Amino acid sequence: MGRKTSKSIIDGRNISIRFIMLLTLMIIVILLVEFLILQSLLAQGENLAPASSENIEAGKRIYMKKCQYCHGVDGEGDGPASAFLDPPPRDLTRARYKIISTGSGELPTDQDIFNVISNGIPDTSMPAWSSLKEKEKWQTVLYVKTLAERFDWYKQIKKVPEIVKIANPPHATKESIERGREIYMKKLECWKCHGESGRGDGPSAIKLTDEWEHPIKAANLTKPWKFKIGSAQKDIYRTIITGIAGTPMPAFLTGNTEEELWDLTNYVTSLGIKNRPQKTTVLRPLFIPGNLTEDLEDPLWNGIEAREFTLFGQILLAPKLYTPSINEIYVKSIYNDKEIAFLIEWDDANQSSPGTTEEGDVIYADALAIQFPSQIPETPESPRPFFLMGNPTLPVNLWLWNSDSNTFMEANAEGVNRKKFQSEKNSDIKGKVAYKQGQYKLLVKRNLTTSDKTDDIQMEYNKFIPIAFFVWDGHNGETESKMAVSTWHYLFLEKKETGRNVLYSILAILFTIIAEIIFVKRIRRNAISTQ
Amino acid sequence: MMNKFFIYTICVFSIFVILLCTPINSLAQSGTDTITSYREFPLIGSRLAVWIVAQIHLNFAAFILGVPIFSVIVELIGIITKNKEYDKMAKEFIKLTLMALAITSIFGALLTFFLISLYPGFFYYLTGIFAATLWVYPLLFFGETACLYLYWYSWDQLSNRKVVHLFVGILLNVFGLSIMFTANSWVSFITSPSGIDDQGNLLNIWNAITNFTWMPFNIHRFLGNISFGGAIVAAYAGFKFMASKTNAERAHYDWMGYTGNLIAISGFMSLPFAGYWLTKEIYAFSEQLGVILMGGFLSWLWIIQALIIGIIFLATNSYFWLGMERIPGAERYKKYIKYLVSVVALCFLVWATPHTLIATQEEAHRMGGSHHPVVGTLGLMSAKNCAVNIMILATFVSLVLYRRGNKISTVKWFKIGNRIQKMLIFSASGVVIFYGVYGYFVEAVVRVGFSLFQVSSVLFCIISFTIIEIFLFRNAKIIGKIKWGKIPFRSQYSLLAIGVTYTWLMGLMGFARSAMRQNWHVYGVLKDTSADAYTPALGYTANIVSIITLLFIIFVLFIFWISGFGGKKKSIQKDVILPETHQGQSHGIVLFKGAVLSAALIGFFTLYANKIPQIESRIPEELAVPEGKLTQEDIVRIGKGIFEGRGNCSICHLKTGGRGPNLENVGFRAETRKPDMPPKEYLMESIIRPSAYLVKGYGPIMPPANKPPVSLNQGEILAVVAYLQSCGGVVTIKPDDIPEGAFSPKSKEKVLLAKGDITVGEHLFNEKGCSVCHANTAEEKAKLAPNLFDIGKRADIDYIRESIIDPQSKVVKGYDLAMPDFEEKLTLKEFDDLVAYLLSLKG
Amino acid sequence: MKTDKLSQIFLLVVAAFLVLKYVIHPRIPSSLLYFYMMIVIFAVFIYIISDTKLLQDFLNPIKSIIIKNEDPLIEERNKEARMLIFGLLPLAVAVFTYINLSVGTKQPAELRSIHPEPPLQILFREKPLRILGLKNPLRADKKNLNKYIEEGAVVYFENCFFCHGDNLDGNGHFAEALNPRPADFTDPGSISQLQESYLFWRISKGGQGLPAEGTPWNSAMPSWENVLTEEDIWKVIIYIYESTGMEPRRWEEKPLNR
Repeated sequence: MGRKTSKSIIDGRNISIRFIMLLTLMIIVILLVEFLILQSLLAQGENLAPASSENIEAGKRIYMKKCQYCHGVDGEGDGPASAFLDPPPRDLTRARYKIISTGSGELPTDQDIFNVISNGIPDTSMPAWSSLKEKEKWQTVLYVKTLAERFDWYKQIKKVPEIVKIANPPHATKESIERGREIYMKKLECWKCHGESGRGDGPSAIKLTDEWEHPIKAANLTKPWKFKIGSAQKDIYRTIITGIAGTPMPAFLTGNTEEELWDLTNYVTSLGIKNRPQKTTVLRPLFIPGNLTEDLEDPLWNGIEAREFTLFGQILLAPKLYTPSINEIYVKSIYNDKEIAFLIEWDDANQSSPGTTEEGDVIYADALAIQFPSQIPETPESPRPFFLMGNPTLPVNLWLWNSDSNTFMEANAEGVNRKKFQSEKNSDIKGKVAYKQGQYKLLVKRNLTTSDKTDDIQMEYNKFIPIAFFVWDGHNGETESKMAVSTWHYLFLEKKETGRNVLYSILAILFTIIAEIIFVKRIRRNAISTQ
Repeated sequence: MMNKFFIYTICVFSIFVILLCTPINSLAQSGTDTITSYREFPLIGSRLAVWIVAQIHLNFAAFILGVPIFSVIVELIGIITKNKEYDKMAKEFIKLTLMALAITSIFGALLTFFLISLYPGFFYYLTGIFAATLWVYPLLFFGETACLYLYWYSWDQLSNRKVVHLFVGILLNVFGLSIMFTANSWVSFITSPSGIDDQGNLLNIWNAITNFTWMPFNIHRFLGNISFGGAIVAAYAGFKFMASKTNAERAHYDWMGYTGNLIAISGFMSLPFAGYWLTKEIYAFSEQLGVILMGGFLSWLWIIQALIIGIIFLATNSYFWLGMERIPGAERYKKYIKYLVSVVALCFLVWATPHTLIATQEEAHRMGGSHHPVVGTLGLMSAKNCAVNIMILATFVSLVLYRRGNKISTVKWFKIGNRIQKMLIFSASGVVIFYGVYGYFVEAVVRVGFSLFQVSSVLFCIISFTIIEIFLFRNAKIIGKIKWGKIPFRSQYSLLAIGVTYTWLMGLMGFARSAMRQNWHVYGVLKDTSADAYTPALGYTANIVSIITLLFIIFVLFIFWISGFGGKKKSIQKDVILPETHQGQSHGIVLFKGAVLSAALIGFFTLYANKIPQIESRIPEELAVPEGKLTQEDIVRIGKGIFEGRGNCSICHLKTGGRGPNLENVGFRAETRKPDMPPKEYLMESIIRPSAYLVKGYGPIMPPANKPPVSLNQGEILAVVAYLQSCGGVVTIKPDDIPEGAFSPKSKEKVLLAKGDITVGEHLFNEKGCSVCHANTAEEKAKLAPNLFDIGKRADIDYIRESIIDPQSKVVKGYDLAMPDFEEKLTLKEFDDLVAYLLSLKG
Repeated sequence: MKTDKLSQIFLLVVAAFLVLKYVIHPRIPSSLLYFYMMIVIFAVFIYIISDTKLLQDFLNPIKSIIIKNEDPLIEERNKEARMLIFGLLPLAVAVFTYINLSVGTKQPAELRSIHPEPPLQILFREKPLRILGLKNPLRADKKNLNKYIEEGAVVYFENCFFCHGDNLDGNGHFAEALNPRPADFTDPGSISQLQESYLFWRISKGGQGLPAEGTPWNSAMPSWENVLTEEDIWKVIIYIYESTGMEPRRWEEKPLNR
């Protein structure tokens, strides 16, 4: 210990420069590698597989391994999974494709098919086949083309489908959007299917079917991320001028000027939600001093950020629902010392009340439920009730609304088929619902604590309270266990414990200072003893 | 003083043996049913009492078995090199053992008493199996004790006849190992029992002893004990070093610490290999047990273990590096420290990477699952094997550099030799990494085999390196003598830390061995039915292990304190007392510092173990297995299962009133509702023909249960009936009523749904003009084209499809009028409907 | 420059932090990041104390600030630095403490045991099945293996692919909404670590059949025993292994010497 401080023999500065250089080099290498990977991903390579019989054979093998389970052995769209998919998988034997760069009903280019295989189709079960190599994808394209005779005919008559040329989009001015709105509402009457606000809730929307007579929905224009053909201006424009083959969406090229069509494009673009709510696992309500509003249209709500919760079909217990029509809900929440309120919004093209359609299909009520465990688990690791309406040992508390009675009821459940409504006297929730232009807005409110401690969730501050949502769309045959569900998320009511935090921070300061003093004293003492 | 201890120990030991033997005899004569299975220990409970006592006993046993081994080796070295210092050190080791023996015996006796009184059933069973060994064991113990005392007391008398003395030492170790092997047979038996029949009766005692895990246990514990003994001795030396008053004293303890640590690390480096073999044998015995140990709720235990072993490796390396400062010439090698520390740290990172990560939901989503695509692969066996092998190699290199410190080779072929050595290290690392990476591309069973290649390449490298090293540095030029005692003070903290960490690790491993049996006393044979049968979570375990470690440290300090009485005066005599400023600290201060360090380490381990997933392994629920013939209760239970499950009955028949009647009291109502009908028939009828006896107010909405989609078979329906009868009525269904195999899973009947709609097809048949040429009833006369009234019988789907798409290809003789091509006139859906319709025409 | 060793080591730790936090893609969870940093700091600490000269070089800049310097000019500067550093440090600690205590910023970490041990025995549709040592009966029928793969694929695409995805990578169209996410069978840490009997147990009993240690009780995996037959499950297991190119875990065959 007693050695004297020796002077640095190696110049320390050189070392750190070397070190920094090494670090920089490392970062450069990492960036370079990432760049190269990105390049190869982005490379829109030309067709890597010429149409040789080997390549077609290879494509067939891939098809049989990857594609046939949805699209069927012969490409008729009748694979074993097809019965559960909405929209159903494409019948490849007719060569009628939606996502094409050529005119409506025309044959696609190879690149079009390749793009679909590579990118998948949003909001459908067609995934992006990133697991396939570029060459394999081209081989698959070759094989897929052999499934439809139309390609052969075209080849025989040497007809090459023409790619629709689209000029650069003009700037979307306010006036242009306004003109577009006129076209949407009056000239072309797009609203009849797509609805006034674009939520696909137009009066004609309900009976639409495609060429295969599968029921088909009008696109919800407020959710551009779900556009199958893409949400870029050019994509929308192309869709408008060419229509979508096999669907009720007609081509609007004739009878309209190019300017009008761009105006319409701009208007459609403007319908999309500007800031798509963020998904979250923890819903943090906003603290509001004073009373919580009971008004659905209170301007207060505009200042609160909504959160998106993704739902999936209940496929755990029979009867199952593979194709829920509501895939996400948007939730806003506020609380004060006494109460908590949720504002939930979701798109539903049809307001349902129980009955039957003209065709005789049963319509059920639309409904929504918020689920809490009856008791908050002690820690996030403690057992939670089964997310699907609990289990006998760990029941759940449900806040229910349905469009039939239009009442808000509380219930408890110990399983999907073990639901028990609380008596009206015990039910503590209040709420309001409005349906407007394809969108539900639901406000539900309850006191943080209630008198019924065993059955009702008692909200506590600074605790992760499990929360889940269930939605039923009556027009989609959803009732009882056929529903869209979410798994558990968390609700977190924050109560700032400033006093405690400040106290601990002060303690931390004190401890650090004491440690510093001990350290300094030691070093000084050592320094003196070595001198 | 010594004699008192001797007498005391013998007394305790005799009592222990007597007590051990008598109850066994009396127990063996009484019948099984008279034995109480469990008794409760006051306050802390039986399990905890046994746990603490057993672990402390084990720690001491490890110490007294391990230390004599290297004591004898050190003595031998002393004889060969004629260096008195070695002899002195060997003697000091044994002195420590002597004290420890008493405590070991006390805790051994305590453990036996606890087992007899608290777990009599288990004890009875185990002693029944191992009756034969229970007579051998005390004899061995007598031998061990006798040899130990002989070895110690004859040290000075036999100083002229060293060979005889050494022989006593070897005998001592033979007894020691035999004791361990015997005790291991019991411990390994409860983990992997063999030599017994299905009822647990003894068939062959030899097979029971040599069960699957016996030998691996022996080897693992043998190495572990040596290593543990070394670590404790090193910690002792570190403690003494810091408190030394004279140069000679300090030099002596420095040297002792170094030797202890060297022994510890040598054993430690070979432990993973033994551990690997043990695990392999556990898997070979029962994969279930293997999964529990490695993959199940114990998986996080290995992360703690990795953390601890990483700390031990780093501390050991640090000790070697610091040790270089007392070797003149070793500065040459200081520049390699940064590379070695990087390698060890990197391996440490890899080794301690958990396979399953603790992540928030958002983090998990970002990773695309609960496994990280990059880091997750580090959590697998291959990566960890790589890491541990390279860590061992790096530590070996540290040791080599340390040994070379003051030597300059004089042999001519030094350059070549050194190059070969380098090549050995790099090729061993290469092999290790190659197989590690390759392991990801082969199936598990092959991958597991790879570790053998990795281990053997590392061992080969170490052994051949050492051989070359010996020849390289024979007659080497010595730059300067090692200045014992000149090691920096802080190095001694490493020794203390290693000792404490090692003890904690022993406790953790003890838990791992015991916990993998879960709720079994003897795995798969004797169930633990006590209240403590569940296996606690790691946080709780860590708390207990910490308590055990603290208790052990206290006992060890006590021994050190006692042993300080003997040889103190002698060593001070000839030494120069250091000036006060250069003196070590007082015992009190050293003790305080050691306590702070221990508390910090133990606290850290405990804290960490409490932060990771806390999972208890609870006792699995007993499965009610219907064996042989079904009873009526079985049928009711099965019926209830169908009612709530596959039958989907409970969806409508709710207690609170659903779409079907409330069936709460249906058994009673079935008996009364139709007086002229037996309730069984009434219920059967209602299930198969639901509309037959509708309850007022409910519509005919129930599907017949014997048809798709529910498709219950006769037996299943009877079971449902039995269940319904059990709801308030008398069950009349007898087991004989159920057809054989009714409840065995039958293959799923696939209902192939016709794709098209037949009625639409019929409509199309007329609308699209088919009926102009084709007839579709048998009565109708033939038209222009063949009559299709039985086409569904005559042709298959492909034929029909083809005939519509390409009529020319399938022209039936006698009809030469060409049918037009209909394909383009039909939509796909229409096409399917039409085909379906035609297929339905079966005449 | 006297501060060099200190700043070097500081830089090293910071660089390690940056690499661990930002370079690894996708980002590692914070629990692991802390764990790694703990090891890094410990290793750096061991490195510093393992060489007396290095330790002194490391401490010298600190010492030079703490210890009174003869030169009044330097002493004046040191005094300022002393004040600054020793004043800022407690403040930094306080801020860190305050932020960490504010619960609202945290998210609960989910602790999971991915592969809890299977029970020795299960009841499959009331029929007792010993999971321990259970072999896939269809594997013995080597002739028909291709047929089973094909049939297994159909079972997979009729039942499993909504969550586990076309690529068997746990990215089915419901995957985004699920927590925990569906198992990724292409991960080397997944099915290749397991025996077929394990998969059989998990498939037939689902999320609700997990033992107590199978946290966090949120799995949406259905219990398939009421939907699929024993044979269906064995077929789909064969398909899953076949399609991902993985091999089920086997143990070396060894006769029990009971």
